[in-house]
Amino acid sequence: MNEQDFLQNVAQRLGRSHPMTQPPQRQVVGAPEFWTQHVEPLQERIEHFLTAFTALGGDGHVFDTLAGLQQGLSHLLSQLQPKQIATWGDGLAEFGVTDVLAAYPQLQWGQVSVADVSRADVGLTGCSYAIADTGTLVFAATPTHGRGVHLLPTVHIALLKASQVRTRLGEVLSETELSTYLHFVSGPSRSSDIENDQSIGVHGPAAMFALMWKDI
Amino acid sequence: MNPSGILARSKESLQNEFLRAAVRFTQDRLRNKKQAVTSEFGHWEEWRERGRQIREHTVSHLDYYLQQFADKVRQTGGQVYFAVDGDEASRIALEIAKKHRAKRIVKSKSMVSEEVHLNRHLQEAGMEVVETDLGEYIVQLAEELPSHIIIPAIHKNRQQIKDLFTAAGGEHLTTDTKDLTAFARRTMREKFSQADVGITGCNFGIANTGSVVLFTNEGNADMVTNLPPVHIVMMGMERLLPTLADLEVFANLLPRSATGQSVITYMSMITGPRQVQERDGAKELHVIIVDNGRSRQLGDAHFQEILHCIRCGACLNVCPVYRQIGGHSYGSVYPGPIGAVLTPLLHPGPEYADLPYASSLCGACWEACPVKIPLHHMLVSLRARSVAAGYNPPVEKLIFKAYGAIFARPGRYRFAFSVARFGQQPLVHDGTISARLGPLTGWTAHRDAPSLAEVPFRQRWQTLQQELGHPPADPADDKATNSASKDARGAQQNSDVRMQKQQGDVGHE
Repeated sequence: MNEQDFLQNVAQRLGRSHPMTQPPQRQVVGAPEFWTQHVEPLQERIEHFLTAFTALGGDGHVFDTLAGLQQGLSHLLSQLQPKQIATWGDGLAEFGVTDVLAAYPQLQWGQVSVADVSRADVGLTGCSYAIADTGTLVFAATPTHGRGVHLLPTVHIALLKASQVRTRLGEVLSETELSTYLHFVSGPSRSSDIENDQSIGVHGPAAMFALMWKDI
Repeated sequence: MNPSGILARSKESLQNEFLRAAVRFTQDRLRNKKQAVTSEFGHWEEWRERGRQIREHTVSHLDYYLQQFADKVRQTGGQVYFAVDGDEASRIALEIAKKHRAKRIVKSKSMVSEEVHLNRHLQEAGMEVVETDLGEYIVQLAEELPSHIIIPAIHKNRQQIKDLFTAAGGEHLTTDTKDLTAFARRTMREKFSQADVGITGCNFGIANTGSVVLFTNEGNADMVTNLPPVHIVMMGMERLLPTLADLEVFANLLPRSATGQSVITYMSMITGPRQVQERDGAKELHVIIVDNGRSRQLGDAHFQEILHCIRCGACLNVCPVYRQIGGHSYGSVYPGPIGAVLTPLLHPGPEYADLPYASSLCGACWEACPVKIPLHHMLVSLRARSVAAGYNPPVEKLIFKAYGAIFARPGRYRFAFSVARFGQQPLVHDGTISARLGPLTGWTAHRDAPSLAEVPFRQRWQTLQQELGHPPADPADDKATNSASKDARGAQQNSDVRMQKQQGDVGHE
């Protein structure tokens, strides 16, 4: 149907002769005030995030130094023994993990096809934000931060900084610049579609790790 | 009522013991989880009220927000289409798919696409359409309809699922959930990588950013939106929220109400197609906005609020009728209380006019609804509409006319019941009626009906008053008794029963 006719019909049903062109007045916007006013101090926020992330089936660790995080990643990878690691490549520069990754065959985003990334055992990414309230990691797609890296491999490891942790979703929604694809991920992929029996990894990763550098 | 209607379908469902057990189990699990997670969250009523206010505002200014949304989608590089009905919506999707010479299409769960029978249209044009939500995939392989909004395949057991997967090419499968899930993952990955077009629904469209927001636990929507080169979104026209700030409210309400999760596993926000330098994500974004009977509810004092629905399924999980008859009995895409209201509204006419009768009007659906839609009031209004349209059998009209006439006057009431007391005699055995004939059959087929008391309560009232130490009632109280509420009558009947037992009398009135 013609757009104008469609909107005209909607307007008339709502008792208006023409579609509204000025923004309507709003009594309330967004979450209730008791919620929006709640901001946790940093240490509490970090702990809250770890608790929530663990409750979702994720495995989170905090490191006081960048060197600690690099060691932590090295240790984790030595346990996982991936055949191939898909990474954000230059998108991970600030974490200085080039040496740690050198021991493994890598698929760097931008240099390989999406199908290759799909075959990797581990996807290694940074993130845009973490949300303490729900244990969520937020990924904003950019040319260097491909969508597939955190989504397609069997295991996902996210590197993040304490300064990226927010208390609640609303803070991220108001701060963030919208990318074409903003992804809020809370734990591994899950389904209860077979006799209510929960299984993980049905489409996305079956295991998630978060390694946090306490940069502030 | 309609011999092919909900009663007939319910009778069939009631024979399926696995289905009934599965529905009960699922209901209990989802309802209990919701209760736990909402009480832990706290301020639940405040959140519900906020959700209701935002939905009310959006729907009552839908003309503005639709225009804003459409403009924003176009600004971010997407294309927007408006479809007045299901056929047009399917036709638009089909044309886009044809333009890209699509052979393979992957879909993530979308109620509106099922409502407009999109798959059938695409398949008739020779395209392969694969549902990628695990439950929907199972239902699709079985060539059935979903039986629950959130968990579509609750009516299938693992053996049946194994058989379906084996027929779909799975080798050496067991009935282990892990095994079955792994087969689905392998199969789907292949489908995703080969697909020409991905089709999703839309949980929320954000008017002032033009974003399409999807909620899934499996992550299939992300594969569908990111791997094929073309992404088609089909959305009901009411699926909007004004701003991202409002999304925070619904990101809290929806998963808690649907599955008792404090957060959805994947919330995906798509704002336009991929940018030139990006290496994944759909290159084209097409958004089809569907009316299909929705605009008729706008401006309707009884039913506009049905457009506030966020499709969480919480009403199914508390409904005593859904619990017994399951989803397929509703005979349409939307089961449970929401289906009993929405389906006859979207498809007016005799076909679904019996759905609003599949309710005890207990109001549990309204209490469970995260945006407080008064479904129980709507069910009554729809019954009235059905009567006014003449969809109910003439005998029902007669019965209610007679009921009205008899209960309006004490004299008629007394006369009618003395006739009934006399007339019941051949049917009464040991104080109960167990005959399987006539209008009582619905009751007596499965249990005894109580017979009318030999001495009616109203005649014994004076004696009772004296026994209780109250002065005898004025006979003029007849009227008051007649207009007493149903509950009060129930209470009187109960005390009557107790009294009769004391007197060794088993008759009831």
